[in-house]
Amino acid sequence: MKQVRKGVVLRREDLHVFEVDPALMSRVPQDVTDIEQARIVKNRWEYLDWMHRHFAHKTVLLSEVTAAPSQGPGQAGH
Amino acid sequence: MSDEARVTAPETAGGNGHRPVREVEQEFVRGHLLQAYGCFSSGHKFCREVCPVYQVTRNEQHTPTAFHANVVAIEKGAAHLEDVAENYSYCTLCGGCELRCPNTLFVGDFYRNRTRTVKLVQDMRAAANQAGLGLWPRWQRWVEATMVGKNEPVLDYENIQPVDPNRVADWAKDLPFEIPRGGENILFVDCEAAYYRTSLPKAVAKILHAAGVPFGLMYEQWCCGGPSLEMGYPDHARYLAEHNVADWKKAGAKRVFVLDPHDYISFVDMYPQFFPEEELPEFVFMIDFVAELLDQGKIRFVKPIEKTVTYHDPCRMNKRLGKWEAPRKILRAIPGLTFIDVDHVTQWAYCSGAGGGFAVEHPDLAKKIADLRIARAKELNVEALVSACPWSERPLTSSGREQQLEVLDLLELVAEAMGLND
Amino acid sequence: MATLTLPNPVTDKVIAELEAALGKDKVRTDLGARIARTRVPAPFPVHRFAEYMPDVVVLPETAEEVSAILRIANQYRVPVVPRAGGTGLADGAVPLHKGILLDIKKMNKIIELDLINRTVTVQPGLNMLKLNEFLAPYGVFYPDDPASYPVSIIGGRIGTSGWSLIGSRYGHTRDLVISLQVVLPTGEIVRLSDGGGAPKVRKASTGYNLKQLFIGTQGTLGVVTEATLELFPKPEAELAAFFGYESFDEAYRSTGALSTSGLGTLAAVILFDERKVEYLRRDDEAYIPLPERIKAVVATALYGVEEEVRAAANRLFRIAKETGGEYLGDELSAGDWASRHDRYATPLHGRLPDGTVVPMSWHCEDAAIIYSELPAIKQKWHEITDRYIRQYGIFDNWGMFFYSNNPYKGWGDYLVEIDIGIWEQALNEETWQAWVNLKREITRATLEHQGSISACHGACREGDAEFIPVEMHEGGFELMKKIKRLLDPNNILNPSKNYLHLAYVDEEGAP
Repeated sequence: MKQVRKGVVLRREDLHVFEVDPALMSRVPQDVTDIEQARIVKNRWEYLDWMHRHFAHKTVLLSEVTAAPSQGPGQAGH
Repeated sequence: MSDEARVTAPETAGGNGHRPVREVEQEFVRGHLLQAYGCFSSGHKFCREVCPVYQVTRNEQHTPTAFHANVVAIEKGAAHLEDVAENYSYCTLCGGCELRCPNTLFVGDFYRNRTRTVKLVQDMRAAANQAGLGLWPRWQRWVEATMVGKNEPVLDYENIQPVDPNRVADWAKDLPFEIPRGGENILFVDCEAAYYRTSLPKAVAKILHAAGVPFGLMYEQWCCGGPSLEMGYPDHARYLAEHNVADWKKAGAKRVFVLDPHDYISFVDMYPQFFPEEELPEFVFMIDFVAELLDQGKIRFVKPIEKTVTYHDPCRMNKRLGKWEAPRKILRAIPGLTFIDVDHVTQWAYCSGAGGGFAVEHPDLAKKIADLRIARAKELNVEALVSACPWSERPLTSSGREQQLEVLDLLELVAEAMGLND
Repeated sequence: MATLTLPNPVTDKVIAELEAALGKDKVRTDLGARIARTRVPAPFPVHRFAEYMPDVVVLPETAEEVSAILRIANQYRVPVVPRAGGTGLADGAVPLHKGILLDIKKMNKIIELDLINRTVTVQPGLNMLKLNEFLAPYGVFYPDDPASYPVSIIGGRIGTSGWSLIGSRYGHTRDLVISLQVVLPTGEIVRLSDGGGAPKVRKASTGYNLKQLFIGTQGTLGVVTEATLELFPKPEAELAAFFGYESFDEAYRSTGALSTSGLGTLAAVILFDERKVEYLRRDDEAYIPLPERIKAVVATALYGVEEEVRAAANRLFRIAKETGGEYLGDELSAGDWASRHDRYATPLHGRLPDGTVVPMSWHCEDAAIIYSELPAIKQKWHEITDRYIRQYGIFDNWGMFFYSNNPYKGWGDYLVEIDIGIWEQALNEETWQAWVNLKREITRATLEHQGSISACHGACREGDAEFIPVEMHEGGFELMKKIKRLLDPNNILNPSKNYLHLAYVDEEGAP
């Protein structure tokens, strides 16, 4: 488990999903399994794609149209 | 009666042994209060328009948020358990709400804590039954009849009469090949399919046979137990489950093929709560298996099906287990078939109304849900709606008949496209 | 203290008359029905739960049924509180005097789609997402997009005069409603438009513009039973671009430059302050990796025809860059924009002072403030909030947003939002009163800076409502009271909301 910043850890490098530092969860049980966690992440991306399509026929990205970089600061490969 | 049953049947569902209602209430509130605040305090209600029951009642008290708010109201002395328990029958346990909840979808992975409304509803039903409130006589009879017939009383919804447990494998009688008992691969045939939609297990047996996959049946198959749990009788669910696990052990089962989503979620969600993982075989959902066989070239579609169809995502697969890709892959591989897809996220809001005992206790509202699902399919100008859940197929077929839309089963369609019905 | 005539209680006779008018299944007195309609998402004095439970819930399906309910209520002088989605953030739908809760959610029919004149006429209980799913095959779109878009309903949007996330391109609820059918408190059913009575005409000079009077009343003047709405072509293209800045001041100036750019496709400009960015770095996977040098963020979104959006994106990028903005990447921009409805309302964002996670309710302050005053308001609101956090330990500061607030343009005034978490499970009367006092201090600061108490939620809560007469001191509140008395002589419709109990006090010369 890697400490990413104060209060945030990276437990599953494979999935690259940030988690709250378990030390802060004394009042709330952490009972989501790894399978459920992966499912939530996948569902979220599918839902966000759905929301884009719901509001417009096409999603255009700034990096496609301008000289802006596709990746932002702090992201892998930046 | 099976000699494998390691426990005696629990007392009849409505029998004695009730606990004082205040004691049940306290335990229930203690167990669910934090979750309830997680919903009550946020109050955004993003679940609501996804909920199949709310979509037909438009009554805010039949919503997941109301189910959570009641827990807080009880804690604050504004109500008692018996004042609100009846509302918890207005749910098909489809799981759309807890998936759509931002507490799950947007931060469930970060906090590793998510909304669990399905569990809340099941537990409230169990609490009401434990307290002997007698709110749901049809569920009580249903579970009692299941105890007698060892399978659900699917042949008589009106009077809820037990089925004959000795006929659980009758569907296999007129197949052109024999299916042995026991073995490493077991085909588990759900109650609805074994007694009512017998065309489905026949199709599945033919597919496995044609693919050269050896398989057997259980010595004595009982209901998976899921519906008993959903109707608020966890002890009865466990009793049925123990029998099945013992039967698999006797058979030497390593892998169980499952053709019904409701069985599948019982096996992968409920059974691990009752038994250590190592005591359980691997559970394989037939649709996934067919997609795999297709990939490996072990089955082939030889017969074009000249139809325009759309697909109904079974709630438990799509909303609760995230399985929606395999059926689409299969449909796209069937020659001649024109497949008009409605994406699985849109279908978080779809349901047939058949799940969670809802159709047993609220048949009129369940019919409205099925009618709505068929109407949505009709808007696409398709000839048929394909489902992959035998429980959904009975109400959908009935609504489809009224609205002139054919309803097909995906695995039956696979057998047809494989030319196994000729 | 003024002596108020308290509304009459709901008696068995009232219930019997409601049942006779609507049928028994649409009149509910069971606790399940009442508990479900007690609160809205705004912070709630949960320790006084039962005080806010209505006596009876009615579920009408037609304007005639709504009219019958109001006539009965008028006859017996019992309060009626209209409730739409119940997702409002200012208690508009919370019963203050119990009474009849009029839930409009069963009224969700689509009455007419007119593709020639680009209108859709609906009952008010319909949700916008569902409406747009219905409209999609026709290539048209109803662009009212609040954070509660997946669940809130049109009647509530009208009742609160809602604000839309993409309103700077498409207008807000009040700009998207062409005409209304309203049931008055005395039971008459009327059709109101932009002057005159033509239901599909957007601009008229005939008669008074009565439509706008009924938008944003929080259900104090009438119950909307039908609305004719504006349709736009479904956007061909969407582009969201988020930029990071090394200081708030830089981001604030950039916000000004972007919102005055004149770009017609610009749908939103949203400024995040340092505390908001800090908070997002705490638990939002998109922001966690952002380097510390990023102190503030500006989010923008473009909608329209693809050629326009592509061209506008170039200008937008140039302005952002020239004013110090650093593009935060495609994934954050597109992903966070598509998360806009969900992201900010999850209770586990809540942290106690030691960092421990607890489920908290979300207070979203929503004052309307002119651009020049934004930096000063930011400083004051944080100072007030932090003081209360230090003292009581059950609140959490989730930072501030500044959203472009005007229809068809980005400039002018901004919807200023401070998000505060409240640990409801720990509330008692002392901490609840502290909360109300916090609200009061925030409201006073708003008025000191020429702002309006609410941009979109309404000013119905304690801590807001008592300041309406202050904000409207130049005769506005006096006129409001006269209108309320004229239309609702017996004070039955959502009584005491908008501080309008005063309308019935001075009439009698009290105190």
